[in-house]
Amino acid sequence: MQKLTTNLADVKSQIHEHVKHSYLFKYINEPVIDEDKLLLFTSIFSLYDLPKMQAEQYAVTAMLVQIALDTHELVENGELNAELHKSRQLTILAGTYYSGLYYKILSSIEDVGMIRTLAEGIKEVNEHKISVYRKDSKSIKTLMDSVKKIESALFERVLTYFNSENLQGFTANILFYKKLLMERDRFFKEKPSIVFEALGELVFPEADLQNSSLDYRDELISVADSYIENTRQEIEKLYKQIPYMNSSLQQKIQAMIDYDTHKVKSFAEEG
Amino acid sequence: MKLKMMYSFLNSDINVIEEALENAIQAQSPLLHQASLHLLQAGGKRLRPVFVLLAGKFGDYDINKMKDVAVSLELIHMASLVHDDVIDDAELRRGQLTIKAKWDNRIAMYTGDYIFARALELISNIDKPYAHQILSNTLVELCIGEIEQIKDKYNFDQNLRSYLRRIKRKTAILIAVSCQLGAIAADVEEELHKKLYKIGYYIGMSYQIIDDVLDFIGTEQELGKPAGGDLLQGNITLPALFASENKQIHDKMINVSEHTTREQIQEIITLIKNSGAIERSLKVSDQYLQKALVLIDELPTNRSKRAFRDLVRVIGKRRF
Repeated sequence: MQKLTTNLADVKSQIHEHVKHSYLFKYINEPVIDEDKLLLFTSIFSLYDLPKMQAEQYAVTAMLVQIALDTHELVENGELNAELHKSRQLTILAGTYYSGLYYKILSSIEDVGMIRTLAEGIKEVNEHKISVYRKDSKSIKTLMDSVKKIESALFERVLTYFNSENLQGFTANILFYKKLLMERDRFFKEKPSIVFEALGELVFPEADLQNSSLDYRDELISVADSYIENTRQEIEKLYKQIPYMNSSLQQKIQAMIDYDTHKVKSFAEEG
Repeated sequence: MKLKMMYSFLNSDINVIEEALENAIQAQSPLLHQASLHLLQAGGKRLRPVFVLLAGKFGDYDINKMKDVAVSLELIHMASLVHDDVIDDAELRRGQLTIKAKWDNRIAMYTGDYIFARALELISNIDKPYAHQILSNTLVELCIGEIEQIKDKYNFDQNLRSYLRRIKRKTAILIAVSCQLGAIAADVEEELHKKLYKIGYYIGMSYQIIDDVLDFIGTEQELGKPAGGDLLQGNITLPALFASENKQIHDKMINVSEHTTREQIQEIITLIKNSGAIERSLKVSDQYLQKALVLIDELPTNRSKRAFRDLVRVIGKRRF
């Protein structure tokens, strides 16, 4: 993944400019931009011989889609008081608004192909989100495949659009790896984790999900750790096959791998 | 005459659209498919597809091209309904449980996003950048309209202009764009597709005003939800706006909040109904329909032109 042709800060500031809405931000937080996904998208779009503006608009719109999906992910179940209900209502509309912006920007540059590509990604992400949320997976592998798809479907579609399928595995594994670390951390800190809830039902079909016994927790962490470790090895293997990678991405990936090695060991020692 | 009779010459194409709608929501996830189907089978008038097809008849009509536009617009409408039910915390739609009530908010969010994505995927088969610019602007406007609606909730000092702007965004532009995109997909010349946009816009404005009137005069059975829901939720619609010119009604209305009981709201509804506001609102609706009729008269003569005219008459008289 060659030298970045777009400036990350520029893309980020364009995203902020697009999502800016004074009334919305009175009641909901400004969307969080996933810096790692932004770096990956800009690295991918730097691979092709695109004019700078087009590469930036692709990165902006792909991130708007991601932000829209992440925003709708904040909508939870349950009754709320009036103030929080209003914030939920505006969260829903904000997500829809960001999706509309992606379509509007790509329409303005007459890029119907990329509109379709990202729409296919949204569709796939939501298919897998429902599957994980409803705990539909029949095996740990299918659950993990769904988690990976949720993180990587947008990227995979973009890479297919540019006939760069060879980078799909590498990208998907990086995103999957990061997601597993995050979910593991949430579970470890006893915060709700949809992934671990689904994993719990597969590993202990009879167990009470509230079960917090040490054996139950250790077993789930052990399963997750084996996936984390395998994914880390896969990333290292694929990493060597990529002819050139920009220094920002290189540093980020190295830091992620190092972070994991330390964490996995420390959790194992604590266990 | 029933709505469907107006465009019976489109029956076979409407069946094609129904089938295409079912195919469009063939998700791999059984639940996602079930939830989308639940919404699809709850019915609906399929107004947007009908307008797409009717407008297409003024050009080079090819059902395969029209299909993608018609299905996309209906899916966009469906996706917005699924999310609106979470926004409004609604239990019922068209007399059936909403997706959020049958399953939960999260399922509704995923289903809405999935349906929206399918809509964009299908519309991307139309290789006319201009059509996408029109539709994408409309979607952003729709969303801004909904945000404005929340901003204006329980604001009893609104004016007619802000109400009309809101219903334009909420309903009229999607119907207007259905007419325009149907025409564009059929390669209709610019002057005519812009005229069809205006016809759709006027019809849409009238349609929403009547919807807002029905919320006061309809029964729970007719509406598929309790009457007076708009006011209870703080949405100030045209009848409420007209009625609030009466100080006594205005003073009662400004105390409406999410804590207002059914009995209290019923009392205000009765006052509104007796104030002449319903008749005045229907008159505004009729003025929009008259404007639509003037433009319809200018359309080239064909069966669609007649159907547009009949539709206007039926919409003007609809009571549920």
